[in-house]
Amino acid sequence: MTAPTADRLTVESSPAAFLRRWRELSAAPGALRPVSIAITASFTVDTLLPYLGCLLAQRGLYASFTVAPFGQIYQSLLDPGSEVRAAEADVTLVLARLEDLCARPLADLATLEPVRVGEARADVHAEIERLCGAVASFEAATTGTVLVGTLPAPPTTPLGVLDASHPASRIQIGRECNLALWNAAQQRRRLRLIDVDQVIAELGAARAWDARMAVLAGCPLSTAGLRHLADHLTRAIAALVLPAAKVVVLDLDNTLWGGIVGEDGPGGIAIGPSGLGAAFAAFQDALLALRAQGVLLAIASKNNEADAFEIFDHHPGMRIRRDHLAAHRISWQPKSESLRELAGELSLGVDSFVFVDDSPTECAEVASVLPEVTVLQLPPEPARYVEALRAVPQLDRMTLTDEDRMRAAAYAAEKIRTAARAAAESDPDALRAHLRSLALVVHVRRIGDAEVARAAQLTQKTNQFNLTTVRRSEADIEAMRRDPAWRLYALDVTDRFGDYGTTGLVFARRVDDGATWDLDTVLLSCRVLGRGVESALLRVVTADLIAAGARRLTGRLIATKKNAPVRDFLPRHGFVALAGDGSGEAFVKEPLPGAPFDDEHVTAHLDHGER
Amino acid sequence: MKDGLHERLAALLGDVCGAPVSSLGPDAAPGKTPGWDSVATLGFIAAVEDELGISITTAEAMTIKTLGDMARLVAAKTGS
Repeated sequence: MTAPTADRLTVESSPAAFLRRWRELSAAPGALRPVSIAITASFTVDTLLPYLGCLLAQRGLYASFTVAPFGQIYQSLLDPGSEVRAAEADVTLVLARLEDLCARPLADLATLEPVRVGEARADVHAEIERLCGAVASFEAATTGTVLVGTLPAPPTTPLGVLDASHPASRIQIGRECNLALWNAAQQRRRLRLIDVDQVIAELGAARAWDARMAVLAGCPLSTAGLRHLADHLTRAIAALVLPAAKVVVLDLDNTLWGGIVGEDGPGGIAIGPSGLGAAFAAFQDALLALRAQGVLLAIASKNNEADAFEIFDHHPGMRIRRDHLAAHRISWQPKSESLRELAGELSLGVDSFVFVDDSPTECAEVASVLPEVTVLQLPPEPARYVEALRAVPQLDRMTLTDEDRMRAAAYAAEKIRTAARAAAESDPDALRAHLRSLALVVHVRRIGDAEVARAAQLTQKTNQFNLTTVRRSEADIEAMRRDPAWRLYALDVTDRFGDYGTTGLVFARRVDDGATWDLDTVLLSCRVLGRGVESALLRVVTADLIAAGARRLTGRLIATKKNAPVRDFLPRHGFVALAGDGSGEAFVKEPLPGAPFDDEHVTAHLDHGER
Repeated sequence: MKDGLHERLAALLGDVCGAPVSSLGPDAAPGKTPGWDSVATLGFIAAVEDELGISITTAEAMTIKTLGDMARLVAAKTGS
């Protein structure tokens, strides 16, 4: 009758299955990562929680909810003593309907008396300004993310088919309110929108609303509406707190184009503006849109490399070209092996990969050998490839940094650097000359307001050169910035090939005696490793901490499966190991600054003031 | 009444409120049965509608005071 507990719940699973699972999870959350969620809404949301809690659990998150009494949106956002303010949650969700916020003006609107219609519209606008002001104050006073739902269009309107063209249009005033919310979100980084109006439209108003539930439960959404909203909220919340995928690895035949290039030849494949080729062109465009968001594109194909590149370089219908690819493996080896090699070449973990293939056999091979890879097996219908790609939650993101937008171009520049370095590798003098020729410049500065998102992202995503691998949310970093015992440094690197952007962090904490500073976090993106940048970073930070009274530095190494590149960082820079303290190997360095590092080819500055 | 209807509904209610199915007799009711609160009532109605493919009206939902009431309502609606 009901599914066994281990089964994966979907948006189609029965309410009973969700309710039972949520009861079990609440009793024993196990090893799930906690995320705190506060909710304030203009209607009752108790019935939403089991669906949201279960779907978040399937992304590895255990939600602890704080729910304000319904209808108290302003009190809970503005009163410093409210439950929602006191919760200091990772995510605060604000859900409202215009019907609840503006019952009287909407009734006036329905009178159709010209003067009252004008006043009613002004009243609705004033109310939405008040809501925007409240969420903006909340964002400024707290450290988490505030996620505000757009105001959903009602299932029916007083004017019916006339609504679309009438000055008293209920739908149009709702759109104007949502535009005001969107404008507010452009001003505030931790104010994000969730398009509840669109979620309901996707499902269909007739299915999403249930007038009975408004009467019985004080919640106007149907069970189906709650499940779909929970699914969408899960994607948004998971994208806020979990690392996004970094690479999409693509098959070629029947994935990027229709047909098999080795058999059908360049003239026989389907890719281009018309016919079946248009479906594949649309899929390639969707992949290029992901690339613009910072996702790298790579190829793992069983083909002859020359045949494949003939298409990338010369086929007029192709959207993705050779330059768009960060790396490729086109050979006859197992695809899991190709993915491993691509991970090595890109210095990324396969757990940040999404593998896309039309072949069930290839998908199964990758899934069984590399279970940490997200596998997208394409549907049989190429015209549905785009929607299948966009349904992969690991590709969701809720913020986009400048580094994200520049990432693909940065990897392209890296390919050129690697080639230059390979030529110099065999000879130490040539290597030194090569490093000097890079003209590396390192700018270190205290983390400013605009960099919190990028800093949190670096702690979430950096696995290799990461001393302690402590993951931090934006809220964590905001709180640390306000604590005078912490100094949070970020690092920008440029060289003659281009700008790497913000690629490293040091978080130092003053210990009780005032003379000891602990290097809680030291991390660098692998893109800047192997050229003395880490030494220059430590040199600059050490000098700044000495000026702040530091006489000794401490640090610890928490070894993980992935952080081999950082293991010799402390000993190589004059730190001495203490006896193990159980939480990683502890090190100390004194006196300061100690012997100079081998980093004279790097120009390094401490920039005073935040960017 | 259809054979096993009570057992079917009791299993759904057990999923929803967490009480052991064996403890859920026809007179089980919100407040008396552990875990059966107002949210569980709504969940139970949603679960019954989903499982049995029926629709319960607002007025009918308001008359359900016990598991036995639900069984009688479902039996009447499914014509058994």
